[in-house]
Amino acid sequence: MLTAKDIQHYADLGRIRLSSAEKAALVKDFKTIIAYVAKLSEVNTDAVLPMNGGVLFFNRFRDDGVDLERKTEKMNETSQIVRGFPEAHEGYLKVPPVFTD
Amino acid sequence: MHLEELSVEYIHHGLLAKDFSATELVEALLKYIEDRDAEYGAFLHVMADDSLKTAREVDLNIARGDDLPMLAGVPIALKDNIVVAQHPTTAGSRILEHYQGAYDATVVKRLKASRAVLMGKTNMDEFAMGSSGENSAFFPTKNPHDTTRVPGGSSSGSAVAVALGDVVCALGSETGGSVRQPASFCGLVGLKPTYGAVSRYGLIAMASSLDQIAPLGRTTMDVAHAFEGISGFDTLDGTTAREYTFRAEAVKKFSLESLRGLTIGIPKEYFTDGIAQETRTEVDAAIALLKSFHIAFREISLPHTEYALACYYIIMPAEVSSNLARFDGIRFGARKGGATLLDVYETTRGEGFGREATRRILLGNYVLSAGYYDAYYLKAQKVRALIAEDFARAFRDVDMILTPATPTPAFKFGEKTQDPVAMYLSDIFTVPVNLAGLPAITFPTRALNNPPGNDGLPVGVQLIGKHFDEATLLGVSRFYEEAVRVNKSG
Repeated sequence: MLTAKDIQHYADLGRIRLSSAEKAALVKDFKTIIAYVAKLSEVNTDAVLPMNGGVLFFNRFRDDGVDLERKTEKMNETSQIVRGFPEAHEGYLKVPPVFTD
Repeated sequence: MHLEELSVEYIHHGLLAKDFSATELVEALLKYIEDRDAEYGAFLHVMADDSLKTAREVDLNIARGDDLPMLAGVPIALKDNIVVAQHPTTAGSRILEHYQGAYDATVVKRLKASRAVLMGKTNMDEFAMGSSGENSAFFPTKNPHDTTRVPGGSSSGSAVAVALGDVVCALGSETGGSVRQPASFCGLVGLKPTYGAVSRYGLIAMASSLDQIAPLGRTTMDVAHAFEGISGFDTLDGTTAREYTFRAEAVKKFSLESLRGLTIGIPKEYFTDGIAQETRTEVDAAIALLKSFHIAFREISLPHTEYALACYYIIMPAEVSSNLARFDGIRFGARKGGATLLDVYETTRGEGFGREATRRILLGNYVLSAGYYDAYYLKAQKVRALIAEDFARAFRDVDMILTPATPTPAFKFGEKTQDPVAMYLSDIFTVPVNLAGLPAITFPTRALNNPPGNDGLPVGVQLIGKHFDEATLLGVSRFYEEAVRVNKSG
């Protein structure tokens, strides 16, 4: 039986803080949704290969070279990207310390 | 200039004949939006300065006698999950409320190159998750055919902007029906392209194996022109098809003779008791009209249809849980909390994601967890293969497949918000197409009033085609549209 503790576990994996009211609502939603998707167990999938993409099944590699046009474009984008950072310092992304005492 | 008659070709010829200027047109539409959008909520951001600037450039091109691409001067709206440099791109979410795009999506770059006028960013369900527009973090969008009803979702604002005539066409995005369903609820033509026909570069990803950018418009040819403008190979998206080129001209060349050779399949699994009476009646009438073109019809079976939605609600959240990991307060949008890095992640995401986004991330984590992976995720991938196989088998005998676009017309606000599965079921006829990577078009069963209203709720028909056979889908839709238009005007 799925409980608020399980929901807490999946929220921890997703790095999402939830209130206890939100957790209670999610327990209820999960039960309905899981009951619905469980019908897949009725389907016989013996010897069926999983489909793991939209349509194509081969990998495509680009040429191993520098695309000069794209490189210039990328360099122009950099300042825009830095401007979009929540916090920046002299063109670098600023984050809270990863290691603390 | 007759604003109610605006179409891509009307604008193109009107501009060339100097009946009106692009600036006049764009000014008139900006005024339209300013006067009315508070009531409907189609736009999150109007790009007034940029659109006027483009319009003036187009006028200059005309004055100089330059070649004019078909989309030049044509007002187009973009769903707010499509990135535009230096303009807000929120994906309808608080977590990106103040985010500005750092680059142009490939579709945006192409539209700009053809000098289309990008009018603004449209409202949507948060991260394209929803079927009613009610999951927008900002405000709901209203259906112009009946403002007590939802416009459908998740491309809610794109559909309403087109239905109201604020723009001629709009781009939305499709993961499980997010263009076809709102197009049907708002009486429009919506085209979900084959997976790989349109570049996803610059589309904020929801479920990458299902997502496609998709055009909608009031007429088939408007959609065809928009699709030509955005489709084709892109080095920045490795899933785009290298050999595919679409030309709107192919739709025009599609003749009555080509219609006569077609066979349409009617899948018995789609015509169930769950369909509203009015939808059933109108779709039956649409079939009768298509038969009068001497198209052959035959009943077919797609046996795994009943499992498609369950399959989708495993695969999609699994991909969502991964794609939405990047929104953590580090590189984009607002940063909340701050004592520790973990606190930043958890506070930013806890406050930034709405209920549906949270639900799907957690569901994704659940179905991908050790112990559940085989039972859910792997099982769903296998069922997905069976669903794709059902279609492949059917397409040996028929050229396309006809279904209702949705089980019911537009529903009331609040009707399904407390029951997620009831909301999910409104996409039951559109989801299988995304799972199989196929193209599909939806168009209204009858000619509707313009401006919208006072003639009942729109009902949509869906035609599903073979991979990369968009031209045939659009060709049939165009003949149908012309026939109902002639019938209406008597």
